[in-house]
Amino acid sequence: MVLACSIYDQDVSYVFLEDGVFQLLNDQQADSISNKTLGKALETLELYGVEKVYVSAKSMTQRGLTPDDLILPVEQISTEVLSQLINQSNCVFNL
Amino acid sequence: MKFSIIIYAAPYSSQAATSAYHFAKSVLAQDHEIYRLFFFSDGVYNANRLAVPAQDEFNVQKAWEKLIDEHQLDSIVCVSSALRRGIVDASESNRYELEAVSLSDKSTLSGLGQLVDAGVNSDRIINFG
Repeated sequence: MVLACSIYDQDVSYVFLEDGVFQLLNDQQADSISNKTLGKALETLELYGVEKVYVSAKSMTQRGLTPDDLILPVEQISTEVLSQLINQSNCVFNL
Repeated sequence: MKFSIIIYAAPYSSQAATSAYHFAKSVLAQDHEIYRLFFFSDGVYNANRLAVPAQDEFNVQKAWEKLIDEHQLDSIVCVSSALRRGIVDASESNRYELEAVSLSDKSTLSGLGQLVDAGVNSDRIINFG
């Protein structure tokens, strides 16, 4: 969806929330549970011009994660900043 | 007001798909416009034309078909969600040499670009499921 937005020239912010933060974990071996490793796809975001990638600091803390655990550098944001971000956006998609 | 409705939920597993249908009906009854229906993820089962629910039960798929037909709604089914769940139109059925066509003829298979477009051109996006 983020890539589709980018292809259609939309100004897009990508936010990882709740259990979604696990998508950002480095050293994933999803083939052992018959899945595709998502981390690899996330590394291509930059190529598509998606620069605003955020993760909820609260969701990270709740799951005992630190920036070192993540596959790419993302900005940690507070719940307050998240609500500002939602407020500033024309459209919010929850996936 | 222009609405687009995203349906993530499969029919019968929860109330969400039926709620989406009633919401869409209410939107139209109140003279608002539906820019697009977008069936995504398990929601693609709402466009399964091969479903046969019990006769005394509400037939969600048929209800969607009737609503789409009566109001000439733009109804998009996410193609990648659909293919992996066996919801195929005639051309995909041919391409993959399958034995049936399962997609309702009131809906069209397409990609996420249609969802981006709905976001840009609608006043409200409402999610169900």
